[in-house]
Amino acid sequence: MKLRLDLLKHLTTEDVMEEAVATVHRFKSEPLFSKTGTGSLSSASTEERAREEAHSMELIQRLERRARQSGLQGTKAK
Amino acid sequence: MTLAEAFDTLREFHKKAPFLFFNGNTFAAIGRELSYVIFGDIPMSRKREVGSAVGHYIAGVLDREAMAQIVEDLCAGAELVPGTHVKTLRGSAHGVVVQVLDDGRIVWRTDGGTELTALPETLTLERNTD
Repeated sequence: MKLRLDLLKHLTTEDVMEEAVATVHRFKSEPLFSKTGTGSLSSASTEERAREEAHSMELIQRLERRARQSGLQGTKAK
Repeated sequence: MTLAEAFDTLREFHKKAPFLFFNGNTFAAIGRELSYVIFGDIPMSRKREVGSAVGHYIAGVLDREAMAQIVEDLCAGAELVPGTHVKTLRGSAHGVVVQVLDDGRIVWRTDGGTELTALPETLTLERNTD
């Protein structure tokens, strides 16, 4: 299996923030893990699991688009 | 730094709780997004489970060994032939492969005796615990 380290270069803070904001409700807001040594994460609903799947597919497509665009720009620069 | 070390670091950051609120989702999201991208080539349903295992590890509700085992199982390729012991991705059902259909789907029988048809990417090899 090939690890897509090439796509990592195109992952931005905004991509991560989008996912972090979308999953806020599944976590305890207070710093529970630091106090108790055990964290908390509520189970995902069926809709959330479907959303995660769609999100991961959309993320890969977005990064592949960025990779293509940066490749094109690199070619033009030469 | 290895990928597992990166997840360890994110878990430590979560545990240190640098923010007043929302430490968990912040660091779990970084790990989950990393796993989605790095394992971008594995089937969608498996990728979701990998992301889930990583997220649970960073959130502090799954230990390292279990997380590593899940990720390894989901990323391993396997040739499923009749007689192979398999389980569903989440381990909710266990059984044995009965037949591989011409279109690649797998007919398998659960331990309870029910015969099911599944896509190969929704089954993983059952590890021998002996």
